Amino acid sequence: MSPDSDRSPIPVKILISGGFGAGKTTAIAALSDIPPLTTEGAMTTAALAVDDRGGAEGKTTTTVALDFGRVTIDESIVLYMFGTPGQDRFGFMWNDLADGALGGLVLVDTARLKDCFVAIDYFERIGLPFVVAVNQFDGRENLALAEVRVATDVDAHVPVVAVDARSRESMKALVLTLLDVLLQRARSWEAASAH
Amino acid sequence: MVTDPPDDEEPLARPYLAHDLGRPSSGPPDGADSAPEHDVRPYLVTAGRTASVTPLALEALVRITSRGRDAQVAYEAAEILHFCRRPQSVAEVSAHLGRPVAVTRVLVGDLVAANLLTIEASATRDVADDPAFIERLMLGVAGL
Repeated sequence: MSPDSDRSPIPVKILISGGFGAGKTTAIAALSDIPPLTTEGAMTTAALAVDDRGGAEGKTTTTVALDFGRVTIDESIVLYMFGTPGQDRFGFMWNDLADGALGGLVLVDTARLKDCFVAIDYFERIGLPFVVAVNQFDGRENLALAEVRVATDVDAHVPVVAVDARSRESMKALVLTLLDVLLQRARSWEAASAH
Repeated sequence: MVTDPPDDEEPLARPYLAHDLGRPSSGPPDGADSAPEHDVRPYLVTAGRTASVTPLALEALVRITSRGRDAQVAYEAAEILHFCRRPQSVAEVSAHLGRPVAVTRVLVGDLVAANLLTIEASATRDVADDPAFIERLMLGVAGL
């Protein structure tokens, strides 16, 4: 047992996904108590990155940067946000990242809409609640949210919302949207098990 | 670089639909625990080991034990113990050390096995089933 009298907080985790350049690190920075930290998530071999950002093809590395941030919710809960590598080549890391996660935020850059498919697909497959958030970059022509919903073909209960990943208030609202999805789920399960 | 990147093209749509979970055909062959990387210096500090003796989630909080406070250890182990005087996640330890997650897990796992560190808590999805807990989270986020 720990010799310290104070108890450790309960860690909770959400994933922040999206394609390369969709604003994951910006989103983490907007909420985190600490400057986003980066570590190398690649395990041992052959994590080969080919970034799909125009002109950057061919850039390779054997490791993948894993960004994360921490938010102290109250005296007994700390929220960790992990930015998941956007490329499907890093799929082997996702189970590790998703284990124990409450839900996911899928950031969408409408200029590269297809980059978010990997994340949406993964979250659907493992049954992790998620929200699709269209990042509103400055001066970008954005697809309407309805168009993004059609293109991503997510279930009707999955929120598709706009976000400014640079804005703390906007990110707070986004996390609350995800938590509301979780709350509805938890309540419906509670109601179902009461019968 | 040890190997060349695959030259297949980025899939056009929903590639995971076609593959088993977490094992895309274009991905590396589950390299996490196999094939020792001979080109990666960080594994020198783990004596070449790539698997932790203890399962450790990235967000698992670890903290020094009383035994750990008295322990005489060197280098990375000392650095980790010092850093974990307060509960720290494995991910934070990794960032602090500047070592990859896999390396950090091995090092932290050793310290846990030696009872110099203790795992205080890991994230669990169980709390997602508790409406009261989610409401508490929402209150906390709204008040940030």
